[in-house]
Amino acid sequence: MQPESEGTGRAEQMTSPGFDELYDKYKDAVFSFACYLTQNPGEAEDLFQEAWLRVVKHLPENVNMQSIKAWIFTIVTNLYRDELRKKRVRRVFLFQRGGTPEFNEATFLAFARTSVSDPAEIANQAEMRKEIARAIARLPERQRRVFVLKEIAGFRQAEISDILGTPLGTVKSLIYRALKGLQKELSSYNPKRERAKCDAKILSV
Amino acid sequence: MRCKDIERLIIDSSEGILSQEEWRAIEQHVAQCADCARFQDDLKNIRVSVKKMSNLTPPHKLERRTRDLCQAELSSRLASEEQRVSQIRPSPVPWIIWVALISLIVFTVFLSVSLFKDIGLNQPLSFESVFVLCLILQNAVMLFFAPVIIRKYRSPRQRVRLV
Repeated sequence: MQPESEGTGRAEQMTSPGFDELYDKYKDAVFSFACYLTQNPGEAEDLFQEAWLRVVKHLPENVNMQSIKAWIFTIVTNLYRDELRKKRVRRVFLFQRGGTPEFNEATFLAFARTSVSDPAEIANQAEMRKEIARAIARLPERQRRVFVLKEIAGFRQAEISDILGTPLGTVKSLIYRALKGLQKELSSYNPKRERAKCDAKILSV
Repeated sequence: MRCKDIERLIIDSSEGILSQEEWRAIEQHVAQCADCARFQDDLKNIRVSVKKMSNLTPPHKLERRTRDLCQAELSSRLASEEQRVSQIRPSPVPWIIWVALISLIVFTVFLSVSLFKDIGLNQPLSFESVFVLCLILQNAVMLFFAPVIIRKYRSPRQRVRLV
């Protein structure tokens, strides 16, 4: 896909190499987002695949390369919302109770990628990853969505407001509550303290 | 400023939208308030930790399968677009238009020759000559717009966006 020419806002229709470029650039970000939203590996994979198919089917005529990331994430968010709505309808008909999805450790350990080679550091990172992922999973749905878009996907608050169709003030409020919630959850977790405990145990043997 | 306001400013600080006064307000407040200082540290740690752990990659099979499905979808879209374009053939220009065009050219040439003969003989322009001149001008204007008419017949009925 050719980059948009300056000022005109028009882009060429997407070609195969252009799609590959877009896919390679954003696939990890989209997958991470799907994992954090769904908290379930199977659902994350389905969401990932469905989102990319939608991207290919509905690529707009005038593609702005600077905002395409936000557009892709909007698709993912809308797909997830549709899925949630279907689940709610199913629950009503089947008289089931809903709630926050359970934290699935497998989701984050299986798909995680690390750049360090030291085994102790890998274990430390895995533990930290688990704790933070658990804390994020405990956030209410809306806060989790906003937190992931802000801190993991790297969107600005105004962009998040556009993606979710939520007023900017609400987005700010949700981010604030999410961060306060995480601060509270993670305040009891101190990796240095855990390591010191572990070292003490080993030395005492 | 209240602690809640300072905390909100601390969160906004990552967006690069704070003014100098706001930065100063944060620094002054944080220097005096242990809770806000802790909030600032915790936020920094959360962000650093999240950055380290945010790189989840899709499994290779999923990545491959999704790419193949999308490529297939893309290929079928392009193929159907090309098929649609080739099926819309331009309609031929009706023969009557060609006959009219040729007749007009012949008539104009004939009139022009007669008129230039009169002008060449240095005779004053008579009413007939002026009339003939007007006819020639009219024909010339019609001939000027002939390509537009032909293009209208030749272009496909539906507008197609080509690659």
